[in-house]
Order: sequence, then structure tokens, then C-alpha cells
Amino acid sequence: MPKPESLRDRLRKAGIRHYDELIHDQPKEWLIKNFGEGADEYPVNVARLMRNIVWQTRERIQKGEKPPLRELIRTFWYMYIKPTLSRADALTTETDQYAQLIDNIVYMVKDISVMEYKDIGFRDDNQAHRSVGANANIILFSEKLGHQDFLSDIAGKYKVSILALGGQPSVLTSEYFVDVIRNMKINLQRSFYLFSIVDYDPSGWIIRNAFVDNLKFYGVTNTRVVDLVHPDMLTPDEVKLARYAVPATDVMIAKNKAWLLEVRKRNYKNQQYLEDENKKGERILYGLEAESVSATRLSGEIERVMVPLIGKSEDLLKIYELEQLDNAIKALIIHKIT
Amino acid sequence: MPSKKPEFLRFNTIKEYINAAFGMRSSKGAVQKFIRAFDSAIKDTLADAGKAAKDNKRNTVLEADIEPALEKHLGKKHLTWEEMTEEIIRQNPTDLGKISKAINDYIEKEKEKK
Repeated sequence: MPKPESLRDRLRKAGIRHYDELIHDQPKEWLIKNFGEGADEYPVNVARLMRNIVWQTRERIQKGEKPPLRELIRTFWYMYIKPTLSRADALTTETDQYAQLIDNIVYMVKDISVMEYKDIGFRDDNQAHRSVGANANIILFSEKLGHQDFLSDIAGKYKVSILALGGQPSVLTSEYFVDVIRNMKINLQRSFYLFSIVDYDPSGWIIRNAFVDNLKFYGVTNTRVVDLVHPDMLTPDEVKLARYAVPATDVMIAKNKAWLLEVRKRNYKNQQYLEDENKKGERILYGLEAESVSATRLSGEIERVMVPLIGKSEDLLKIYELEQLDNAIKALIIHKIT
Repeated sequence: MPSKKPEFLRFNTIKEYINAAFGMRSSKGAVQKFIRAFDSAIKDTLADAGKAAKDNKRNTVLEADIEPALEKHLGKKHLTWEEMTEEIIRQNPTDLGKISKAINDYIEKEKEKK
């Protein structure tokens, strides 16, 4: 078994180290001297510069030299990163450098695990779109902020946890969301049921999987995902009216194929209306927007699949699931003898 | 081109490990049988992972390719009825739910075939 890498090794590999000087205050020459190695398009290695500013901020907060930030990452960008990049002649509008900062922080938090968002005290700009209910292990989440009112209604009615992701799920939001659950003294090892309202297309499922992956990273590992948006939530005619062609760009081809493989495992009856061929014999894939399933229908499904799980201890959940398994086996017997 | 029968595990490594870990000797046949089984499983696993990467138009084998291949060749084992029962009862509620769903999905798939 290989020995896990030490913090020092992980930092070294990421090009992060301690600096006595305040990096964001240094002149251009100093920045180039210290961050010029590995630089390509710009005078400094932008990723390494960003990581070191983030790390230095964390160091100063941990040592009590500076209070926790209590600001958004966006504010951190304007306060420390953007002016430093500008001074080093490395600021550009050709690429999204704010997104690059986000990616580098995700790398430090998730990939090499050298820090957590709360170490710096970043504020979550998605805080208004998440809440943890008394039934914390039942989580209803949506891809779009547009479902926020619906989620709030369900949370009010059933006291479940809710989260509107607003696109690709932020690792920061997931960290703080799990922190709230942990602070409620909920055992993260217990069973968590996740009910998803995401577009029925490759991108929607990538978002869903990323959220589940984030939860797993923060210790919520026993999860079961129940999708609330799928073709069998609509009639065949409704599917045909609501469907839209999934973009088949070069970047998406492999993702579309992987998604199709996954959805076919679900054996949705109406999936057949989401696959077609053009005149050249090429496959056309269709998806469904999350909004194609009405709130009334979503509520009905929630009543059927989510409500029976609410308020149950692990033991009661196990009994419930064993009963469901018993029913499934009985259905299998009937299927085999008929 | 790799040889048809690659040797991923070394005879002496296994023999020495058994000696060091359990203070026991091992027969040549036992070690060879063990190595043959694992070399074959590694070869099949890597072949599947390589195919998955190629199917996805990649020249790099990723964790996502290795995982299902490992599950297919090394993760599964034949269970006795007693082991299977124990295995089911041991599952947590969410995994029990996944088993029920898999059975229901199987029934639906079979119905389509009829």
C-alpha cells in the first residue's frame, strides 16, 4: 500500500510554498522572479501565482494575522488576484481568469486536499438557495434556480433539505451544505436519499453526478439518487412536444454516448421517443428540460417516492427497503411464471 | 507489442511475501497457480479498460475506464446462498433500494423482449 503523500509533498507538487512577503503587494519584477518558472503565455505562471496567493491568505488567517475573509470568491478575485495579475502583465480577457481561480481553488480543496473553503471564510453566493431541514437526509435538489420556489414549498411542507444548484454545482456550496448537516449532529454515514430535478440530457446528468460526487467527497457516501425528470413522467405525446435535440458537438459526442448507455439501463418506456435517425442514418438524441414536468406532477411523484422515507430512522428505513425488495422479488416471481 | 502472456507478478516476490508475512513456505505449484490467475485477470482488466478508452476516442486510460473493468474481472465473486443472504441483509437502506430497482428494471426489460 503506497504511503499517502504528506501535506508538504502535495504542496510542493502543486508549486505552493511559504513566502515571507505579501505576494499581492509585490512589484512586477518580484512576481516574475518568483513565479516566472513554467510561465508560458504570460510573464508569470498564472496558476501557480493564484494558488500561492490563496495559500498565503489561508496561512495568515490560520496564524491569526488576518481575520477570516467573509467575502465571496468573486470579491477575493477583485481584492487580491486581479490587481496582482495586472501588475505582472498577466491579466487577459481572452480567457476567463476568474474561472481559472475557481478551478485552482477546487484543485487545492478536492484534488490535493490541502485546505477547505471555510479555512479562508469564503462566503457562499448560493446560501439563499439551500437549507437543511429536520429530515436532513432527504435532499431535494434542482439544477436550475428557477425551481427554488418549488423546492421551498416542498421543504416547508415536509421539512426536507433542499438545494438549487444554479448550474454546475460549486464545491464550496457542497462543503457548507454538508457542514450544516454535520452541525445538526446527523451521522453522515447514514442513508441519504437524493431527489433530482435536472434536465434529462447529458449536461443535466453530469451536473447531478458532480453534486453526488461532491457530497461523497465531504463524507456523505451512502446515497441513492431518484430522478424526478425522465420521459416516463410524461405521456408519449408530451415527450414528442417537449423534446429538443441534444447538441452533438465534437466535445459532447463521448458524453452523449455515455449518457445514452446510462439512460438505457433505466428502461424508460418513453425513451424510444427520444432517439431517432436522420436521413444519413446518424443518430439524433433528444433531451427534456426539467421544466417539461409540471410542478403538480413532480409533487405527485414526490408524494409517492419521497414521503414514505421521511422521518424514518436507519432501522425503519431498512425495514421499508426490505419490504420494497420483497415486493420486487414477488413481482419477479409473477413475471417468471406468466 | 506486448508478449501474449505478460508476467505482472514475480514468482520470488510472492514467495518471499508469504514467508515474511506468515512465516510459511509455499510450493512452486501454488505460487505459479496464483500468479497465472492474477496475471490473466490483470491482462483482461487492462484490455477492457483500454477498449473503453478507445471507444471514447481517447489515447489515455482513465480511472473511469479502469473502474468498470476492475468491477467486471476482480470485483465479482460467486457467492453461496448463505453468503448471498448475508450480503443482502448487510446492505444499508439505500443499497437495498438499488437492488429493488435493479430487479424492477430487469422485469421491465424482460417485458419489452416479450
